Amino acid sequence: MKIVEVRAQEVRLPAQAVEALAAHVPVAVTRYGRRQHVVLSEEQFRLVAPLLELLEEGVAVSPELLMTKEDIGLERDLDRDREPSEAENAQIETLLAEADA
Amino acid sequence: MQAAPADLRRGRIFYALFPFAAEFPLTIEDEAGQKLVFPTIEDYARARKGRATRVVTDVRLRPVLLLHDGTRGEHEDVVCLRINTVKPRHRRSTTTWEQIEQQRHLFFYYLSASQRRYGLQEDSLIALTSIGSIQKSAILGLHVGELTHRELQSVSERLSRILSLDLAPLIAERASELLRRAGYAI
Repeated sequence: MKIVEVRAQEVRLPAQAVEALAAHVPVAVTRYGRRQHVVLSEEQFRLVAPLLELLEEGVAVSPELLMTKEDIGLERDLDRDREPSEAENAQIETLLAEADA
Repeated sequence: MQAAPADLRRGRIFYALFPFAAEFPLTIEDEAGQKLVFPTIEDYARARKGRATRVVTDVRLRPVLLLHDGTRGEHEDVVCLRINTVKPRHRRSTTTWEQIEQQRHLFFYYLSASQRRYGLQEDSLIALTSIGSIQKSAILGLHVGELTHRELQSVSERLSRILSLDLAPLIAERASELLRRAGYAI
């Protein structure tokens, strides 16, 4: 995998980002509120590098590996969502009224 | 009123009875109408083998997105994706939600209530792993909304990745056909 390396003197990170990286917490760089880059500690990068290589080579990777815990949690919540919203019930009433008309 | 076959087109949104997946412990009703509970799949398999079973499970009338036309009367079922109304707790994960709202998330497709063509009163979400099959008789009334061709393409692209569909032979065949039509022999 091609990696561009720059010297530490050439990069200026705020103290909180440096502290976060030391604690192996990823740092996201945003622009107008949207994530542009994510900086990882060397240890963390070593963990994800094999997956990045596979993706770069176009090798089929199990899509589940691309899900975060939060993604899986949301998916499970949606699967078990049993309560209709008021708007859903109102729309069902409308459909029934149209059927009766 | 049941949905009219001519109305059942790919990309349209309907209200339909969508089942919750059966899970264990499983409650069933045997041939004599007696309720039985099976703690695990192995317990169930020992008792029932491959026989059809009446399962006591839940269904919910909710919006679904049709994935193929159901206009042929001979076909009783249509394949669809479940649509969930977004609730405040679903937005708790800011990282995931940021990607969802920007339509950059592989596993979720966002349907904003501000887009009137969806016909949904509230912001909604399609979990692209929630593919299901529903009987046409379980669809209520006419479609309430629909996705554009471009939006459906986006759904299809994500589905092909999630399901790891190998589309290479199909693409190669299509490319060969286009080249042949253009007069380039292969």
